[in-house]
Amino acid sequence: MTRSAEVDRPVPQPTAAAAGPGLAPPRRRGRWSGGIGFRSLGGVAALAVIVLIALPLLSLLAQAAFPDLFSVPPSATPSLAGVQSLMADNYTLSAGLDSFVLSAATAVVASVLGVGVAYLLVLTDVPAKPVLWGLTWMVFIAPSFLLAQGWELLLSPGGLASGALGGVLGNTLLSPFGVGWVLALKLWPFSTLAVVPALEGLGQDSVHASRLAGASMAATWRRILLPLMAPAIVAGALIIFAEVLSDFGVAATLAQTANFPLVTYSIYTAMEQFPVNFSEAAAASLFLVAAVGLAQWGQRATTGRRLYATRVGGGRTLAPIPLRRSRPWITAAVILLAVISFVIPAGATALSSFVASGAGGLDWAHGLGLGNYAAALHISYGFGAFVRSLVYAVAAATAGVLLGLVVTLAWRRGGGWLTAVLQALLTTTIAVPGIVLGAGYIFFWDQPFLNRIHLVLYGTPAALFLAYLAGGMPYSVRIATGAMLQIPESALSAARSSGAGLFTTLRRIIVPMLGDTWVRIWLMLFAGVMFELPVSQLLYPPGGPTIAIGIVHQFHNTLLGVAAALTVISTSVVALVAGLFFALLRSRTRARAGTRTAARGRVLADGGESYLHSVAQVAAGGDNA
Amino acid sequence: MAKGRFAAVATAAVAAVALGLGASAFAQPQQTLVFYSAQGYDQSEATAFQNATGIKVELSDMSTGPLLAKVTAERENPQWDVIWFDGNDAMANFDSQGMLLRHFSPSSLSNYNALGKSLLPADHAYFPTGVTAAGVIIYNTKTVPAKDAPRTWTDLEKPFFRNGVGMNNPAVSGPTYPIVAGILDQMGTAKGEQFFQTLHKNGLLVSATNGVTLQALLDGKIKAAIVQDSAAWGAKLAGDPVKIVYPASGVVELPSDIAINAKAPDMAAAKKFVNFVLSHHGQLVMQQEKQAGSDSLFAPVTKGLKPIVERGGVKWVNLNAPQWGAQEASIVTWFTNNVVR
Repeated sequence: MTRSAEVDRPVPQPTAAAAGPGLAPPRRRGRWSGGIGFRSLGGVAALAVIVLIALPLLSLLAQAAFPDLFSVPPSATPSLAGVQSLMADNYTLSAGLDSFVLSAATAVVASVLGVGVAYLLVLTDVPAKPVLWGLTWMVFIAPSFLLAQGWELLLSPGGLASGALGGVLGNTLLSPFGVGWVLALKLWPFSTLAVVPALEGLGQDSVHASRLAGASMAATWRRILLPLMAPAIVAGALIIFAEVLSDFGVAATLAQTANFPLVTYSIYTAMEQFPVNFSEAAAASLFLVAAVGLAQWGQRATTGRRLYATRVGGGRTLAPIPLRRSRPWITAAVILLAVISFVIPAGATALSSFVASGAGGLDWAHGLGLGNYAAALHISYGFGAFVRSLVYAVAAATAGVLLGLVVTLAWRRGGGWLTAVLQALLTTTIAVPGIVLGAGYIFFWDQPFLNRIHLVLYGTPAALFLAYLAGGMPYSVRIATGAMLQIPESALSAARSSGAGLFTTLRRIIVPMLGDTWVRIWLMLFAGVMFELPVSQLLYPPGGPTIAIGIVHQFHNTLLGVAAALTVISTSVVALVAGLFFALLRSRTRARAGTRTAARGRVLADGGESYLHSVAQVAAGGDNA
Repeated sequence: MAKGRFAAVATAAVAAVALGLGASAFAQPQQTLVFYSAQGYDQSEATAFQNATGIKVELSDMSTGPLLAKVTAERENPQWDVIWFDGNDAMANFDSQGMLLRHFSPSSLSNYNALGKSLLPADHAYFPTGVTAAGVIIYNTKTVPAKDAPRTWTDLEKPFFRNGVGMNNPAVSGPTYPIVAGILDQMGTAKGEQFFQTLHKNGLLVSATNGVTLQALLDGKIKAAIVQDSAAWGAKLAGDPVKIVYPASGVVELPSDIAINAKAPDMAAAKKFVNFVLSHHGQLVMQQEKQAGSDSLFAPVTKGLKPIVERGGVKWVNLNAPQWGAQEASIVTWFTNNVVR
């Protein structure tokens, strides 16, 4: 429809012609306000991405070619010395290849796990669903250092698993194969959380219909589930791919010990050696950006140009898909996943929080006690830092959801070249390690001319808040885009032609249909900010440390037990917040389920029946409906 | 009505964020000391100074790597008054770029002992506040009988220590590069590289940081390790079965240095603070081990301060900061390629 294609292009005057033939809205005022609302979104989205991400990031990345851009005095003389010093060593080349292969392999493994869990959660009668949901969120929320720390405690010589099993386990994990598994076990919830909305939209009915039409379960996956979930799966996989590329914790510990060089390691070496080589760090970061760019191009080539509205059914479901004979096996597999991805590593950290720590590390000789917890409450980086992190996390998550909504809406139907560039840039940001984004923020927000115009953000909580927001935006937009694709265009154009403006469309269609998605994005950002370290280290205002800074400070002072206690306390509080949130959401959803379904039925043009019919056709081998 | 409420809430949220940003944008910190540090005792020192003078201290505590990156990135428009971290080479480099205040002589300067005076640069651009040895040998007395106890660096090459030596990775652990540079300096580059390659062939365990290396030692996975001496003393004080060896050929000094920004936003507070740290009171605060951990176990650079641990007669080696600082990147890369992997 011509009208909806106009949405992103800023047209100064809405004319009668622009409204398109045959779509004359009943109320002139409604159309006018709707048009302005939708059009201004594009500008807000572009401005936000440029200021939050593009300018700071480019301030650093440009130094790959212009190393003296921020020197005293500044100079725009181009030089490729940074690139050359990076390329001089074939270590970098193998690191690049390793990073790429590891990220791709981890994305595949984590996606298989994540999609499997999403399927069990949404469509089947798998037992103890709340527990499985809890696991997904706990693995997702748990700071990666909690899990990495756990594995280290387990595998370190003389650690908890230092016996014969520890030896075998240690040797397996200290290999590229093991590194990939550790990462996959941490990152699979990204895939689950990306795929769940798509599956919820799809509902069980499609599977039932397909089975009724005689298709096997395998055929149903191949012909119905996977094709319809494809954009969500690819979106999740892309995030995981980029996450692995930008990971430093595992690169510096497990991978390094396994003689498995990764690019992030080169970046940190360049940034943390002295003199700091920002130019080389920028060159290495550009490699990561290029790798994600390539992956994104692959995504567009495979799934980018098709329509994926899965939220088309009317009612929610007929009945969950029974697991039948495979039920015990699947239950066992889920328990195994829970044990190796959360119980073991988190348990190891939790256990160490009850052990006194001397300067030489944890002191197992003196038994268990609560001394670390008593200390954690009294140290100067404890409680205050925790509250501060909580405030940042709530603010950044809330702003991230709002801004994510704006950007997703604005970019819903593509746009000009600027939108395409910003879109690409946004995802590549995930692959850029936090320390690079943080340094970019310093270069950009600490420029002397900003003093003259009294825009002093650097060194204030605002700069850290903006950096958190920038770090969260790619996730917010990617997940929301996947979810938004499921709202049929017909629903939006119907709303528009009935005269609904931006806010009405939001309130009546987008927010109700994707409400759970926004809550999930909020929690994702909240947990991410809560334990963020590299950006916080570079940008936290002096005197205002966050909890991650506090935990690292304890590590530095070799108070490992206190660090573990702080980690356990803050993770528990975040888990509690998440739990309350979901309990609240659930009771609300239940109360409103009836009205919402009815409203959806009214709004949507496609009827459930015709949809089921077409699904059955596809399943039975007919052509694409 | 409902539509209006939604719009109002959204507008209010945006306005609140904008106001928050605006308010902080115009909040100019006044009469405060902005202090970047990578020391375990920085918070205690900040609190003590604030209590003594009433000047507000805003501390940014981080690891040395991010601290150096932050200070370098801020070069055009520095926000800090005082920086405090371990190692001369970075300080000397900042000084050579004119970033540090020179020729300042606080009254506490008279407190320096001979070690302190030997480390003070002629232009007073930075001030040593304590010294640790970048690397010493520590061994587990349960697994190493007295007859096999190491006394020199090359003793670690002996067959007895095959698969039994550990150290940190200089690319990750701050104090480890001076250890490597010190051994290359002592033995000469060719022999020094040979030394590390022999250790590597014998199964050297390279870990991320002091804590991990020491844990491996205490667990008996390795018999001896090369670590920073404050960390080694920390283990000994905790009652672990270890002995510490200062090779007679000498150990590299790793001074913790404090310096003032040449363009310090609050120069008066910065000068007061440095004077306070070098005073007897300030030095005692650095020794509050409960807060600071093993960083407190430094060798004093001021008169009348009793060290927490008695090191005995140590031969200190002072590395030529500009010379070894310039080679840091290439040596760390060499180490990564030939010893870590």
